[in-house]
Amino acid sequence: MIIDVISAFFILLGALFFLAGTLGLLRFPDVYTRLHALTKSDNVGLGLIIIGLMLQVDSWLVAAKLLFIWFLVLLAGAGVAHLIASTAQKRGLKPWKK
Amino acid sequence: MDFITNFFLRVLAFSLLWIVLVNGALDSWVIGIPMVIMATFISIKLLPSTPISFIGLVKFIPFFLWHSLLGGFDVAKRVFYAEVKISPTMFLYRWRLPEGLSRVFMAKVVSLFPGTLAVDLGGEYLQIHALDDSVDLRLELMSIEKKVADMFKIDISAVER
Amino acid sequence: MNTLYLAVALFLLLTLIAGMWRILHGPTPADRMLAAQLFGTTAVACLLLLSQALEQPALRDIALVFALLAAVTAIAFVKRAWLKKSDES
Repeated sequence: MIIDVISAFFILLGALFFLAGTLGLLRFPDVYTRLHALTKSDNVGLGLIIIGLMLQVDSWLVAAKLLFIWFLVLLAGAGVAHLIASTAQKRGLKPWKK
Repeated sequence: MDFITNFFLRVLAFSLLWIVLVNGALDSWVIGIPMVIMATFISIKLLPSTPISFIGLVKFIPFFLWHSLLGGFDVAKRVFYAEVKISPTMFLYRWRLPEGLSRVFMAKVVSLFPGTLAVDLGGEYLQIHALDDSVDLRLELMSIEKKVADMFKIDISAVER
Repeated sequence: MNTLYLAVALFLLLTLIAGMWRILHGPTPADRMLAAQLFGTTAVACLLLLSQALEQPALRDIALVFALLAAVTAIAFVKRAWLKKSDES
């Protein structure tokens, strides 16, 4: 079915973004840059997987719950990223320079 | 917005949330009704109503989704290179938004957009950690700030830079 | 579709194991916290995929609780463990 193909596309693309997030966490040189990688790519990854799943569920209530979960993660992710970055700065962690 | 409208909008929002959380189970309203009322009062106490432009919000959502997607692509692109392609820098951006919710909102949004991460937002400046020092992000930040201001019904055109 | 869900969930688990390296090596507590943050988001995605594959709607609620808890844990960590009271309010 065509829906299955579209939904598989979103889910696989989402997984790719999760991979990017993990690679960023491993490869980027300091806390600040790792924060970039993690917050941005994980939120996109989860968003895409949730879109893929929403195409498959049969009730709008479940779809709304999935969307709500994404919203919560988004809110938490952005907030925590800022909190970690500002605390890192207060503790005197110097950003990595090329 | 007067108190009654504000109150009922919140009740409506929390009721919808409750329906979603319990998958529409009718018998759950025994707990649901007190919960919704409690949540409404607590939210009014903690977050007094903020003027939000409906049109501004509707315009902002696609803008946000598109740019956060670009943000993800941007990082993914840099990560998958054999040699990590970044040259990070810190810079300050002078706020035009007034202190309060709109600043916090913008800081969160900026952290999900391509190449920028909000580090500190206290005082006169927003401190940004950028992944790439070869591009000037100020113009972009100004356009984001304008959109946030429109959404919160704040006029920032008069603020000098 | 179910095979795809399970395969992707497994793939996400593998990325978690890779992320474990950051938890072990740090070097700063913030790096470890970041890895924990990654675990939270990935766990949410895994649970949602499993919930669909195994037709267990309850797993979705667990994902929701995870989403909430991840934020609380991170904030508690920064405020309590990392930013000691003596350093900053």
